[in-house]
Amino acid sequence: MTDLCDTAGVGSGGVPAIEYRNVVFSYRTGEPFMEGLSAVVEPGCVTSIVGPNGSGKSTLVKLALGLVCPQAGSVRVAGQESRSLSPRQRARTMAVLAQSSRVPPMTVEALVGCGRHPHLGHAGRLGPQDREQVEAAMERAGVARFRGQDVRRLSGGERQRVFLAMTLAQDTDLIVLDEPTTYLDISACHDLMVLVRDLNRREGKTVAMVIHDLDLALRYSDRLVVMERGRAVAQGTVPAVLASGAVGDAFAMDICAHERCRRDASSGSCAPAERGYVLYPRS
Amino acid sequence: MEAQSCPGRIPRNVIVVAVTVALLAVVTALGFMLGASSVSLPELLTWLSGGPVSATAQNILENVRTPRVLAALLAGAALATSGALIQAALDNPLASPNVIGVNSGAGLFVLLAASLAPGALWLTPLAAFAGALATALIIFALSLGAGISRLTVVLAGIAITTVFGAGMNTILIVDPDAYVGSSTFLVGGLSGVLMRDLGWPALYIAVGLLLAVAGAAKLNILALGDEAAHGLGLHVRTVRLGMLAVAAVLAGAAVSFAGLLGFVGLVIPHLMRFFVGHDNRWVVPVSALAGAAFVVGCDGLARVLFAPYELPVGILMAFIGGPFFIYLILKNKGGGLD
Repeated sequence: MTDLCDTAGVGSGGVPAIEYRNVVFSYRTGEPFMEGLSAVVEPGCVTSIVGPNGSGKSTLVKLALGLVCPQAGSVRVAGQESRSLSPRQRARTMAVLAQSSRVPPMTVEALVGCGRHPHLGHAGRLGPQDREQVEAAMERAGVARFRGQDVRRLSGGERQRVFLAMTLAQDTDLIVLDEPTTYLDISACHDLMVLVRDLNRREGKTVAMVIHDLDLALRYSDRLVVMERGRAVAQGTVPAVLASGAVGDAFAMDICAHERCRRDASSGSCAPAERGYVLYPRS
Repeated sequence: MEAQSCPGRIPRNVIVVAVTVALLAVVTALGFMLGASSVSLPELLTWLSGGPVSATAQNILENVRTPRVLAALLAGAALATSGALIQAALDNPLASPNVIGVNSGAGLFVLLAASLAPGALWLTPLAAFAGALATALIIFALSLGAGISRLTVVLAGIAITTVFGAGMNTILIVDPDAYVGSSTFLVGGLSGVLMRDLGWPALYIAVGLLLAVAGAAKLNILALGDEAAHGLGLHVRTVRLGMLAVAAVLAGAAVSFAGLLGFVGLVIPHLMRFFVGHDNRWVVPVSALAGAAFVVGCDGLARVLFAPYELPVGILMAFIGGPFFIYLILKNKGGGLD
């Protein structure tokens, strides 16, 4: 999969999962925010949208969700103009783990069942197939053992997995995660990211995520979109964007890749291993 | 509070429904029997089965108790359901038709209609609905504003209630004959209700209850927050507005014959959530049943508590509802009201 994500648009037939083209948007008239932003979330890849606070990351999610509309330009989700999609149509194309998800007084199973909503009839009753999907989603996210528990009683990491299971139950090719690791401790962050990457590698889910933690973004993504003051200043594969220096510039940080060697006991040689990133503020 | 439905819990909810229905049957029977001149159970049963009863009993049961019990059933079901809808649609545990001013809006318009077009039976529930809807729209518009806390909505409701209350008192002073039994109307009471007052409101309430049950599943999705609900394909504003409109239909219809009956809409949904959890597909219908039982029961009690004097049922319910409201405020203190 990583190879596919090295070249733009090869993932699944070339239609971008999300495409922003010359988007002009402002929250208040007279204060332009995005002036001709263009960015692409390639299908079949894990794409991280990174950038400082107020750079427009979450606005990108809101535009795709249709919560806000561009004043000019176009936002396309799986090739379809976002504003022409009904919420239901959109929900069958794209599942969003919202930043501001409330933790409702529901059992895990009931919450994951909510993910079937865009596929249900008016009465909102789950059919046998819906139940299978809910079951599979819970299994996949590793929350099936909590099924009867109140979501409010789970830890932050477990909750986030339950919400992820809800987006899986939505059964879409595209998953958008808006700051999924906020409030999670470091190991829960990595667990969640491993799961997300695994969903991409095994099930071919396209993942776009807004994420603050650069180390997580760089480790677990195929591609990056770097936002700065309402513009996408760089985008492409992680090595390419890193080489351009755009990420570091956006945050005024120096980024040092750190490779961990896994030494083979018998030969004593160093096998190619995991890479992490350490950041130092530029002074 | 218990969590929302899961397969293992459904039988328990069925038991809750069964108990509520049984309770409803008992208080309804008592509602027919109790009063200034009581009717015995054998007499009631004979009357129900179409057998011969004394002329007095016949008269009381037919002309006094039947409209009264029916009115209590309708008002209770409507107001409790309205409260359940408002609490879910505004995502506010302190909201109910009387707290956010919907009842007052309905009451003001009822008195206005009574003053301007006396005797138009069909107009009363329509005016009540218009007043209730107008108030619901004000609250809805307010709730759209960013950073509006749940407490702000309640305070706005208190302000609206105060203004509309002043309006009602003005009408009653300027046109004292506008409404017969206005003092009972202002606190909410069912004495003197006639069958002909109930026809139109009953229709409104039946339609409202059907729409409420039909929309209950959508309210569950709304509980996830606006952005998540939108992401799941829900027309968030449409659902919220639609449910508030249904709540206004229900509350307005109840106010049109029962007056400003408060706190059923606040107390009953909370009580029912305690038993059946937060799944609105259960909360809404069970609240309707329990609300009906609650008002019928309270009305029966109000008739015998200070016999031969009769309290308007609204007063009795205020004694129960006021402290409950304070309990809710204390319970939610520090969590969820902002």
